[in-house]
Amino acid sequence: MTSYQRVMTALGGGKPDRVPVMVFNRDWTVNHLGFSASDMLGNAERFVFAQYYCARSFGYDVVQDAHGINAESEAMGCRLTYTEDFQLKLDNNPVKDLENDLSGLEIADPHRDGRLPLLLNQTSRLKELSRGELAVNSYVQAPFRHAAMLRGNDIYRDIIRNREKLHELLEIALANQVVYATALVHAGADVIAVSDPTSSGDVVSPKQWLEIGHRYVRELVRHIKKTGAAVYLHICGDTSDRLDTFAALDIDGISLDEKVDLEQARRTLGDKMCIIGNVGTTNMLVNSPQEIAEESLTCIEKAGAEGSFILCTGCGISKDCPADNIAAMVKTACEYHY
Amino acid sequence: MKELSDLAELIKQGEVAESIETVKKIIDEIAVEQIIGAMTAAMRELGEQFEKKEVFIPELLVASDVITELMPLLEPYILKRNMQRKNVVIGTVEGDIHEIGKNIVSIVLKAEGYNVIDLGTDVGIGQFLAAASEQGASIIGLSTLMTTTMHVQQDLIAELVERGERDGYFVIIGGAPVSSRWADRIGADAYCADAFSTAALLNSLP
Repeated sequence: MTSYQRVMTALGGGKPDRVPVMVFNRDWTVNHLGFSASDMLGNAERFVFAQYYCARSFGYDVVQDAHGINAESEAMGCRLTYTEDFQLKLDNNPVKDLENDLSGLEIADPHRDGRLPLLLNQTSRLKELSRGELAVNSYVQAPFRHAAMLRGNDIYRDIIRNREKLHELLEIALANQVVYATALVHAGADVIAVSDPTSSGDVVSPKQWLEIGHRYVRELVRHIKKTGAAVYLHICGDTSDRLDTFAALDIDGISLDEKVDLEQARRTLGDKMCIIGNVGTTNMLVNSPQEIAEESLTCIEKAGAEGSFILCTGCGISKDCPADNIAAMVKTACEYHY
Repeated sequence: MKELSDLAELIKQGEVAESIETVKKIIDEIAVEQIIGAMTAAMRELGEQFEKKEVFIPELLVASDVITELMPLLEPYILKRNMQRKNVVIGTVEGDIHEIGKNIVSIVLKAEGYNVIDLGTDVGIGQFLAAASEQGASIIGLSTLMTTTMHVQQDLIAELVERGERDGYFVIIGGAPVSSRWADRIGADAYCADAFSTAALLNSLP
C-alpha cells in the first residue's frame, strides 16, 4: 500500500497494511530544515519542501499545508504577525461590535485574499510532489473557531448575552469556510482537517457545543463531503463528555487530544469511525524515544488494533521536539502487527 | 444578610448593572470585607460548578466581568480599612496571547482579596521580574497555552536562579500543555489546573 492508500483506508473505516502515522508538525518541519517562520508564511516552496522531505525521511504518511495559522480570519480582516522564532499572533479582530460590524465582513476570495493563495499553492505543490503516494491534508478552521478569531474572546460572552447575533456571525463564518474548503480540495487536498479548539470540553458546555459548534461543523462537513475529500475533526482539550455527538457529524475521522482516553473513545464511537491520536505533545518534547514508543503502542492497542486508526500526536508539537521521538512513533506503527 | 446573598447570585448570573447598583446601595452600611466575602463565595461556588463541569468558560467570564466592574467601587474602602493583601504578579508568557484562563485566575484572586498585578499577554521575562520587584510581589503566575511557548516558564525560573533571587518568589505555572510533571522538571513551585485551585493553594501558604 502507498501512504495515501493506507491513510484513506483507515479514514474509510478499514484495516490498512500497517498503522498509518501522521504528526501535527507545522513549525517542527520548517525548523528541522533550518528554515524560518517567514519561509512558512511566505515561501510555499520552502514549506512544501520541509513537509515533503520530513515525511519521506521519517516515513510517516501525511503531508500538510500550514495548519492552524488562522489564514481565513486574516483574509477577512484580522492581522497576523509573527517572529522568526515561530511566535504567531492574530489580533485586530474586525468584529469589535457584534451589533454593527457584521455588515462590513466580506467572504474571502481564496485566490486573492491574505495568505489563502499561498496555502492553496502549498496544497497543490504538495499534491504534485507526492504523486499520489502521500496523503495531502489541508486545514480549515471550524466556523465557531473562525468566528472566534473575527470576534475575539468576547464571543464567549456573546454565547450568554447575544446569542441571536452570534448565529448571524456563525453563518457568515460557515459560508466563508465552505468556499475555502472547496478551493483546497480543488487545489489537491485529499483530506480536510476541520479544527475547532474553541469547542473544547474545557471551554464550552456540551449544550453550547451542540448549538454553537456542532451544528455549523456538520453543515461544513456536508459541503466538504460533496467534493469527494475525506474529512476529520480536531478539537483540543478534553472532549470525553461529547464523544457521543461526533457520530452525527458524518466525519470520516476524529482527531483527539491526549486528554481523551482512546479506549473510551473507541467504545463510544464504534468500529468504523477513524480515531486519530493521541500521543501527548508535551511528552513528545520531554520524554525519551522509548517512552514515546510505549505511549504510541498504548494508543494503537486502545483504539487501533482493528484498523480504522491513525497514530498521531494529540495536537501540534513544539518546534524543539527531538527528531528521535517522531522516529519512535513511526517505528512503533511499522512494527505493530494487526 | 439578604443583600449579600442577592449580590452573590447576581455575580453568578453575570448581571453587571444590577450588581453595581446593589453594591452602591450597601457599601456605606456593610463592611467591605463582607462584600468581598460575598464575591469570594460566589466565585468559589462557580469554581465548584466548573470543577463538576456544570458551568464552563462563558459563565465564568460573565461573572468575572461583574467582579472587574465592582473592584473600582470597593478599592477606596479597601484602602481606607488598610486590609492586608499579598501582591501577585501574573501574565501570559512572551509569544502567547491566550488570555481567558489567565484573566479568570486574575479575577478570582482579586475576589479572594489579593492585589493582582496583571501584566496581560505576551509578557517578557524582564517585564515579569521588573514588575515583581517594583510591586514587592512574592508570587509570580505564568500562563501559557502552547507547547511552543512553555519553555518561557522554564527560562524565567532559570533567570531567577541566575540572579540569585529564586528563593524570593513563589512561582506558579498553568496552561493547557503544562502539568505538575513539567513544574517539577523546570523547578516551579507549583502547577495549578485552574483559577480555583490557584486560589486554594495561595490561601494555604503562610
